[in-house]
Amino acid sequence: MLFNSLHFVFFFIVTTLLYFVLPHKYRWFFLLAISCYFYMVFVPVYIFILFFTILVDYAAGILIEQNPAHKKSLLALSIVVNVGFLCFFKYFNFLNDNLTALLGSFAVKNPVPALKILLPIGLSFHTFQAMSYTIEVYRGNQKAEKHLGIYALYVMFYPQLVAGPIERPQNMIHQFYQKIEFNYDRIVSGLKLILWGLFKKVVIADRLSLYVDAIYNNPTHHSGISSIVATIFFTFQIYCDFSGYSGIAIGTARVLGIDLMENFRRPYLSASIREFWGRWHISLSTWFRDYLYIPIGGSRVRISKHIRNLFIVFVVSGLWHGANWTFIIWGALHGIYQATELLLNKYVFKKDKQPVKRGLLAQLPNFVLTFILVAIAWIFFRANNVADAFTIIRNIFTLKPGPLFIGFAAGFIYSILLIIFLVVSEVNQEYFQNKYSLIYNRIPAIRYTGYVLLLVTMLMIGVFNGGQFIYFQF
Amino acid sequence: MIKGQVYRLLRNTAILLAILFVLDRAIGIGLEHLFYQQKHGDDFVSIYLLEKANEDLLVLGSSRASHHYNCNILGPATGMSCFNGGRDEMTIDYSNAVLPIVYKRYVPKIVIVDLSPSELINAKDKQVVFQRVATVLLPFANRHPELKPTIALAGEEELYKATASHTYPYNSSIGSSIQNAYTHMGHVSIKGYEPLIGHMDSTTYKQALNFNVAGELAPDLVAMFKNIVANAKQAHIRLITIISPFYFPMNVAGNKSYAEIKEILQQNNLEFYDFINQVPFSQNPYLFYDEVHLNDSGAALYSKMVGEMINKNNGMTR
Repeated sequence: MLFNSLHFVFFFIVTTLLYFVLPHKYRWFFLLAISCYFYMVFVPVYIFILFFTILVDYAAGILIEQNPAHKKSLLALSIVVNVGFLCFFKYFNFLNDNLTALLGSFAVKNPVPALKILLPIGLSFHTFQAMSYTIEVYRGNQKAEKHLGIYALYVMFYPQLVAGPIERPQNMIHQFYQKIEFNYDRIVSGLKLILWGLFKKVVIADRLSLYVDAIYNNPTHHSGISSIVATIFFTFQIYCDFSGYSGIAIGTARVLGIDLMENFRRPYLSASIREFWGRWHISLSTWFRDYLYIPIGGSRVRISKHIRNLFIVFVVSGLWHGANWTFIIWGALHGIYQATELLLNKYVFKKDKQPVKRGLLAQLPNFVLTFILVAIAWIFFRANNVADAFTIIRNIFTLKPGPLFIGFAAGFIYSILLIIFLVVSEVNQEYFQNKYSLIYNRIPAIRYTGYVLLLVTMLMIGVFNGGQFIYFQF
Repeated sequence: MIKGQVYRLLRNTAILLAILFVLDRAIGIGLEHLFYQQKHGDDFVSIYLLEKANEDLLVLGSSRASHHYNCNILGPATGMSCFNGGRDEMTIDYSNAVLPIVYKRYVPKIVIVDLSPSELINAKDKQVVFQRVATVLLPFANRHPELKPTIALAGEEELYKATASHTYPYNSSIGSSIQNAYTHMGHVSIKGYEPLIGHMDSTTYKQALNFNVAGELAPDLVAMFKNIVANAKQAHIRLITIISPFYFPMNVAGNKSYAEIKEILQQNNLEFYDFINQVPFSQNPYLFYDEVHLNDSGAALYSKMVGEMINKNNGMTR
């Protein structure tokens, strides 16, 4: 069930009404049941995998707490089970394909056939969320959850089940015990997040995707200028797609009285790659920080080790996104960016800390440079394969001659206007505390105008067959 | 306290929905008016076909139809009035949906249906294709309810959305409607035929597109083709099915769709012209705009050849 479908609209309205009608003591069960339904709409049978890992991690949490002497091996067992499923479903065919290619170069046939299986939706997200639970119990930051239903709900809570935000048990589990009253302001604030998220997905991301797909699915036939435009469009597309999804997830949870962590904070207004990663997919980058980067040494080591640590984290992050060399290169590029930034700051600019926040215009060159670097890395993220990515890069850097592909002329104009609208809106949020926002305006008439404008624009130029969110595939 | 908050939410939601309802109706009516003002472009081809066409010879099909059949040549060659109703990305489901509506208004003498050899294959992107066709047909659904089953192939949701909103059926059409109604910008169209100017660079196109040659038949698409055949026979229309030229040579042996098309036509004693590997088109870059579309010169030559074949066969099965 996609957030941008009528099915979800009906599901959300009906289940939210029932949720508030039900007495508090039954709500956890109701949320769990509808979360199961939500998941089973995709591939029903995979719910058993989810149930199995939930049982393993639930038991692991309790056993870790009860057996301090064996907690390390219990944690290891839980991680092996979680990562094992992830590897089997996500990486088996990737590794096998590479093995086939490697053996093929020695004229040897790989006897292991490829698996014909679908990746369970959201596997990478709920696996990481489940792992954060056992690790936090192991570290003593979270008490083991004794209520199996509540623990299952922590993993399966439908708004963030398939694409995050990847929550931490300390932020979330206790909220399921709290009695949630109907609160007008909270519900309206959640609905606004849903509306804005839906607008970003249906109007901006899916509109841009039409152009991006035309170029990226056929890069050899397009010019340098078309490749540049498509790459810029994709940079905004993926942001609107994923932050749109996150907005809908956070908004839906908020309507139900559950607060989820912020996942995006205007990432293209970053003055450095380091800052970008503090604003992009925050729940994942903090996950990697807390459970991988710091445990392997983080930044409190020699600079060579620090660089190694950054590189490991970003390559693993690339691999987390998808079993493809394109994602690994994307992650490695960000590792290189971060390492270069670190070295420049240490030896050239002689500064260790993040720069002091300055005004928009003063920061503009840094914003542009960061945007360009991020956009170049996105080429690998979007390209269908490594060869296509290099074709796009070649098109761009040699400014391959040819006309600018326009496609659907009106659609192209909408795309440019929508990007301008998005940038203005982000600058308003970042630098003017949303003072000029329509939907957050303190004057009701302006607020209502904002709601209606967003809805009517969706009906007029939204792309309703854009399909699933990009991050659903991870 | 809570009751007050529930009341406030319901009241404000009702106000918002009321404003939205009125605006949606008003904008929808405006967009509908604008939509039917178009004088050229893709939507104009559909509007003309469904509302006005009265030509003796009609051409239906996808972009290959729209770029291959020059009615200024095909018409005089056959001595008939001609309109090219081909439209980008409109596959057999579109032809099957619109032809009965045309037949209800008048009976053309000849209908040419241009197909791809793999038209009836159960392609992976079949649902995407249905969605495209539904998007094109949605603005006509109120005037021609017969189109609704074809729209529903993309999902019943499409019909619900179109029922709930007056604006939704004209989604994304405002820009092209203004352009095609009030300016001369956009594609050149000659009785529905859209010429492609320039020729392909044969070094860019190294291999043929994958046409699902090894795929299985899609029973629903086969049924649609049979329906097109049955409707034409019932109305005593001379139905000619054509596979127009491709740049790359194509091996159709083993292509179940190609075999099925041929068999259905043979069973019904209907004409089938196969130009797949035909000289002088095959591998002649000067007659192609890209690997699957003839350019204007190619279309001129091709239209002349089709006209001659129509005259020569005059009802004989080929």
